[in-house]
Formats: sequence, structure tokens, C-alpha cells
Amino acid sequence: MSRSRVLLFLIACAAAACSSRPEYWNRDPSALATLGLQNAVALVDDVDHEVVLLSFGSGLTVAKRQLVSVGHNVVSETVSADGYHLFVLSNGDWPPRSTNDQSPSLTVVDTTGFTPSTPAQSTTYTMSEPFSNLAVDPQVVPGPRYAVAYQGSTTSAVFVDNPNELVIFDLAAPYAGPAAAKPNPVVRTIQSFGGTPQTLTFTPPLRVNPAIEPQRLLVVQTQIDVTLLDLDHAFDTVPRPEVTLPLTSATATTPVHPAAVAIDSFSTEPDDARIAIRTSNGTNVYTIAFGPPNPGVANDFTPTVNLTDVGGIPSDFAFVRTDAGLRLAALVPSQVKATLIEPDTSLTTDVSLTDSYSSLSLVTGAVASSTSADVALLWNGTNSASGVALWTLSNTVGQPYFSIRVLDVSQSIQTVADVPKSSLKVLQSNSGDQFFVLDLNARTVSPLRTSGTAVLSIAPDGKRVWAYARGLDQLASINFGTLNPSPLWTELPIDAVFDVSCADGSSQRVLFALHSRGSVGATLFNAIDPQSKATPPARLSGLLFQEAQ
Amino acid sequence: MRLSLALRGLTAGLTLAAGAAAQSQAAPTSQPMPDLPQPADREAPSEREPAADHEAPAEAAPPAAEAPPRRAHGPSASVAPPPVEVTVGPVVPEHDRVVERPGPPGREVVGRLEVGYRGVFVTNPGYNPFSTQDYFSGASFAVSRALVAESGFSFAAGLAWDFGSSGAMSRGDSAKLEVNRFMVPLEGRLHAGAFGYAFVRVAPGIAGERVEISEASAPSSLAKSQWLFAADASAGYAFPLVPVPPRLGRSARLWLVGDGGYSWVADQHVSLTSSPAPGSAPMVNTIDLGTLGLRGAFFRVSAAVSY
Repeated sequence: MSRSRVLLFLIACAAAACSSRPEYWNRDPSALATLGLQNAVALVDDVDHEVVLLSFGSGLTVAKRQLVSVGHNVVSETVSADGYHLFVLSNGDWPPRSTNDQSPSLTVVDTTGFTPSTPAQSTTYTMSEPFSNLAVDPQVVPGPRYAVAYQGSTTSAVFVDNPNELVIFDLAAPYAGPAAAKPNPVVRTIQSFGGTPQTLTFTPPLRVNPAIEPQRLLVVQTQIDVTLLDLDHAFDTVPRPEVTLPLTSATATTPVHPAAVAIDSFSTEPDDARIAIRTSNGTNVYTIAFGPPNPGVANDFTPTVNLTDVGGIPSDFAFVRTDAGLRLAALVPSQVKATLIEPDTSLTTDVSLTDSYSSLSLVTGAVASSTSADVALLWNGTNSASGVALWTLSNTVGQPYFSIRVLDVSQSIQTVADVPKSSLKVLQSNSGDQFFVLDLNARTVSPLRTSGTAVLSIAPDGKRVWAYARGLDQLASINFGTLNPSPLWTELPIDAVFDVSCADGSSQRVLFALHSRGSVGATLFNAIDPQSKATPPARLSGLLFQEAQ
Repeated sequence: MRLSLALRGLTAGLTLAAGAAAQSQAAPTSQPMPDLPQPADREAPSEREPAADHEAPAEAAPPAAEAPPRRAHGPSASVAPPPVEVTVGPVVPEHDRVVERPGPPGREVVGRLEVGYRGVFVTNPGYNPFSTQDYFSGASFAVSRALVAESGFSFAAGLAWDFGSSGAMSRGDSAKLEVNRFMVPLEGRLHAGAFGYAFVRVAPGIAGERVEISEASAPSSLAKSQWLFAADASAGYAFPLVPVPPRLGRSARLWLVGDGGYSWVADQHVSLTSSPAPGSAPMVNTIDLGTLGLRGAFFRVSAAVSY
């Protein structure tokens, strides 16, 4: 055989060793996150840089499967409060080494019109550098308007980064690059006195100035202060300057750390907008009121701050309506009391409690009440038998004891979950092997026991709660009307459950029990009647094993 | 044999006539008839015969020696008739001789068996789950028989079976592909004497593809089988190696065969599901792996035995 023939043969063998197989096939699938939306389930596959959206038919079939491309290297994903928007924050190919590398981005997937005939819409907003954290506007109607990416204290992937930099996205507008007349997103650096953004809170529309329409603010908590940013003017050509409120006095040696923010959203009457701040290491509660802007100030408001000492470090607080007017209620577990603060005068009224409750939530809308005063649910006491208590904020001043009613729950409650569209609450104990259904109207508490630590998932339609143990193959559906548990089994261990509506517009719902095995599978149940013979369970397999895109 | 004897007789006759003509020109005397030529000790080469199995003969027979000129018997000198040249074709070696059997003239009755290795370069994206290389290999078996032979060309047909499999770990799952091909190779040959022959081959047929994936979230293995049209087109060369001693009256020879060309199998849309055990929840989705097109340039190296 001649040399040329030998060479050709060797070239052929070498060509056989080459491969055009994408790297996608060589990596095990990983559903980085599986999230439930109102009408779909989303599996975030960072290996293939896409989101697999699944909607279901009432016959327990996959009505539509859609692949939505997202950026490379996903760092954060979340669902909006309305349940129809998915946010995926990506670092892109960082650091970029070629023109083909992807930039950091935020992908917003809107499933509002996601049907078998109509695909979900997605919008990608590109950023100039990666960020690790994302805060999303909790507005439900008409849906989220803003999102903010920030780095905060998280270690950055860039050589030099600005931890006080915020990237603000206007979700009602399309993407526009930095060179556009109205860029979207916009980049803002808030002034810093040594802190970096830790928590971001979006306010509802507040009447910060009686002469103008209510405005939305972004409250940025750092380690040592709070900054207010005018969201509605964040995209102006000349944006409004932010207002920073230092919480530590000049003479103090220990900085005060903001812990939480409470917003008075009860009224949009003029001069009625208020924001409260409590700290994790101070006994003061800070109340912010809004007045007309000072001359020469670009903002539409001027904030004023009042400090009120409540006698101990507050663990939770909220603006409440009492028969004496608006108050700020703060729980002080160390003093076994709650303190009511009059926001304008800072006068306080202490209310003794039966236990050192450290958590508070308003349940006024779920409770039948003869007064206009709020009703608060107290829980998470230090006493193992403290249970929960209902605090009616009428007749509070002068007769505090009669406003507290302890409900018969002989366990310390760790979490309280709202049941949509009902007067029920689901209480989960610290031990995890028992949970309760609290009927706020009837003032009854019904216990339900589990054989192990249960994870609870409340259906968005408010009709049932699902209980399962991660890694086991059993789950149960508890109907709130009858409190009858329906036991169910799957053939593979369960990692999460999602109760979603059907894509065919029927009133049926589907329970998606996730199995994070192999390329990810699931078991589908008829959520309303899971033991129905007409719609027996169905299996989904290999949800992430598919042709590479 | 009978043909060769007839040809020899014809040759002798021609020689005799030539000698007689010369003799008549030289002297008008009467003379006795020359002796008839005696049979030669070795077989004189006859006209070109088709080689056995249309395989090239191992060696070309030396050209036949010129018939000695006939001398006239007589008292006077005579002019030797000019020699008659007879051109013959290559001598078919013993073991490659056609074994004549009843049948139409020119039909070969020698068969051929091939065993070889076949490789295809597949770049179709649908093949990616089943292999980490753009290459699919397997074994090849074929039997064939020469049907027509004419002037250094011949035509053969046969049956072939190719079998190959490929597997890879894809996305954490074991993915396998098995292919069985049943083909009808049709081969045209151009013989080059002792150096073998070149050939062009076209092979239509069918291919059975079986795809299987072991997926942990599935109730059982996901599999799909389908029969598809297939065809190969190739060109190659067969090089003779060594003869095998004749047995049972038949001669055999080993060959080294190599060919290359293009292999084609119809597309298959790979969409997999599984059948769960009775009483288990049914699988209601399919795993779509796109379109598998198992085609591309291929080569084959075979060892063959002709007999």
C-alpha cells in the first residue's frame, strides 16, 4: 500500500475520532429549579439554557410543552406574586472572552396567555455586568411592574464591582440598550455611608404628596441605613435623587441594623402615607411620614422621621387600625407585650400578652368582625404550648386583656400560611409532625398529624392543602371543606408538588408531583378528586431528555 | 477441449494449404501429401476463454510458439509457407478454470463469501444521543455469485447482512442504537488479470433500527423499532491473495476487498415512550429526540473466499 493510501486511511481514522456532539449531551440534566405558576410548571434547565414550560389538560395529559431560552449560568429564579410571571436572572458567559459570549441578562416569561394555541411570551433584558440578587415587585394587579437586580454583600464574579449599584427594570416596556433615548433597564448607584443593599421592598402607591398622584417607592435596607428611591421617576432622563435615612445617631458607637419595613397602605388620603422601620439590635421603632418637598429639592416629598422606644427589641410589627385610629403595633417578646405606637405623636400603649409571641399578621379580612378594628394573629411563642392567639384591636386602650384570645393549640407554631379566598389559616408546628387548620370565623383549630416531617403546599384556589415528605413516595390531599385526607402513592420519591389550573379552561386542576430522578419525571393527579377512577394518575418521564436546541 | 482440437485442426489445415500453394508455385512436380501434424505434447493455447469465476488468472500463459514452417518434401528446394500467427488470451490457471456445467454459455457457477468490517461517518444531529463520535461501525457479511461475464467485465449479485450497534451515556441516561441491514448488492467488475479487479457496487435494501434509552424517571426502558429503506453506493477493489488447494473438485482463493462510498438510510423521527407494568400509571408524554438520519460516507474492508 502506497504512502498516500496509508495517509488517507489514517486521516479517515482520525476523522472517526472527531465528534460534533454538543456538550449538552455529556452533562447530566439538572432541573436547577422547578417552579409552579398559576397555569403551568416551569423547569429551569441550565445545561441547555432554557426553561421547559408545561401546561396540562383536564385528562391528565400535557397540553403544551414550550421551550423558552434563558441566559447562560442561571443564578436566580422566582415567580411573581400573581403567579403568571417567571423571572430568571443569568450571569451569561462571564468573563466574556469572545464576541460570541453571552451578556448577563434577566428573562421574564409571561404565562398569562399560555394555552395550547398561544405560546408564553418572554422578554430578555441585557445587562452590562452580572448580579447575584433579584427583587420583584409584589404587585398582583395588573401584575409586576418593576424588578431590581443588585449585588449587595454577595461575592461578585467581576474584577471590580459596585455593591451599591442597582439595575432597575421597567417590565411594562421592552428592552432598550444604554444608547437608546429611554434605556431599559437603568443603572443607579445609591449613596452609601458604609452599607450595601441587603433587602429591597416595593411600596404600593403612596400619597407622599397631596398635590400629585400616589407614587411608588423602593425602600432599600443596608446594614446601617434605609434609602428611599422614587420608582416612578427612575427612568426619567434626569432621575430624582434618592433619600437616605441614617438610623444610627452620631454619638452612638454601635451602628443600628435595619431588620424589617412596614408600610401603611390602608389609605391614600393626603398626608397619610407612612413607613416604619424596626431594627435587629435596637429598641427604637422609626416611623417615616411624608410632607411637601422642601424648596430646591427635586423629589416630590420630604420625609420626616420619628423615633419611638418600645422598651425592647421588637420582633415583628405592622400598621393596624384600632378603634382609636391608626397605630403601629410592635411585638416585644422580651417584655411579653405588644406596644401600640401613635404614628404622629409617638405616644405608646402597652398591651400585655399571655406569651412571648414573636410573629404577627393581620387577619382582619378573614374574620367576621362587628367593628372596623383590625384583628391580628399572634404566633411563634417561646412557650411550647403557646399556640396562637387572636388579638382584636378594638377596646384595646383601657381593656387590653379582653382583646386577646388564645386558641387551643398545644404546640408552638412555627409558620402560618394563608389560605387564599377563605377565612382559614394553616399552622405548622415546630416539630413538623403536626399541622392545624385554623378557622378564624369559627375560632376552631383542627389538628392533622403526619407520620414524619411534612411539607405543606396550599392550592391556589384555596380548596385543599397537599402534604408530603420530601424523598418519600406518599402524599395526601386534605380538603378544607371536610378535612378528609386522601392518601396517594407514587412510584418514585417526591421532591415537590404544584397545584396548577388546566390549560383547556375547565375548572379542573392538576397536581404535578415532581420526581428529580434521571432526566426528571412527574406523576399527575386529578387535584380536585385525586382518587377518581375516571382520571387515574399518569406519569411523565424524561422531561429534560430531549433534542438539543 | 473439443473446441481447441477443432481450432488446431483448422490451423493445420491452413498451414497445409499455404504450403501446398507455395509448393505449386515452386515446381510443377507431383509430390506426396505432407503428414498430418501430430498432437503437441503440451496443450497449445486456444483462443481466449473466460477465466474461472471471472477472477483474473494467476499468471498469463506465454504466447504460443510459432508453428514451424512446413517443408516440402521433394527433390527441389521449396519455399516455407509463412507462419500463421495465432493470438491467444491469458491462460487460466488450473485452479481458476471454469468448471463447466450444463447451462447457458458464459454462466459462471463460482460463488463468493465475504466477511468484513464496515464503518460509516454520521454527522446527523439525531445520532448524538447514541454516540460520542460521529462514527457508526459494525460487521458485514455477504454472499454473491457472478451472473454474466463478457470481455473482462462481469456482473454479480448477492445478499448481504450488516449489523452494528452504538451506545453512549447521554444526559445521565444510557442510550443505545442497533441497526440490522439486509441488502442486495449488485456489482459490476472490471478485471485486471492477476492483479484482481475493480468494482462498482449498488446495494438497495432495508434497515431495522432499534433505539433504547434507560431513563430513571420512566416506568421501564424507552424503546422504539422501525424498518426503513436503505441503500449503499460504493466503488472498490478486490485483490487476490493466495489460492486454496482444490477440494472436492473445486478451487478456491482468498481475497482482500476494500470499498468506500455513501450509505443512506431513510430518516426516522425518534419519539420514545414506555409501556408500564399492569396497574402502574401510564406514561403520557413522549421523549422527542428529533430526526435520526443514519447516513454518510462509509468504508468496508473484507476478506473473501471465492470457490
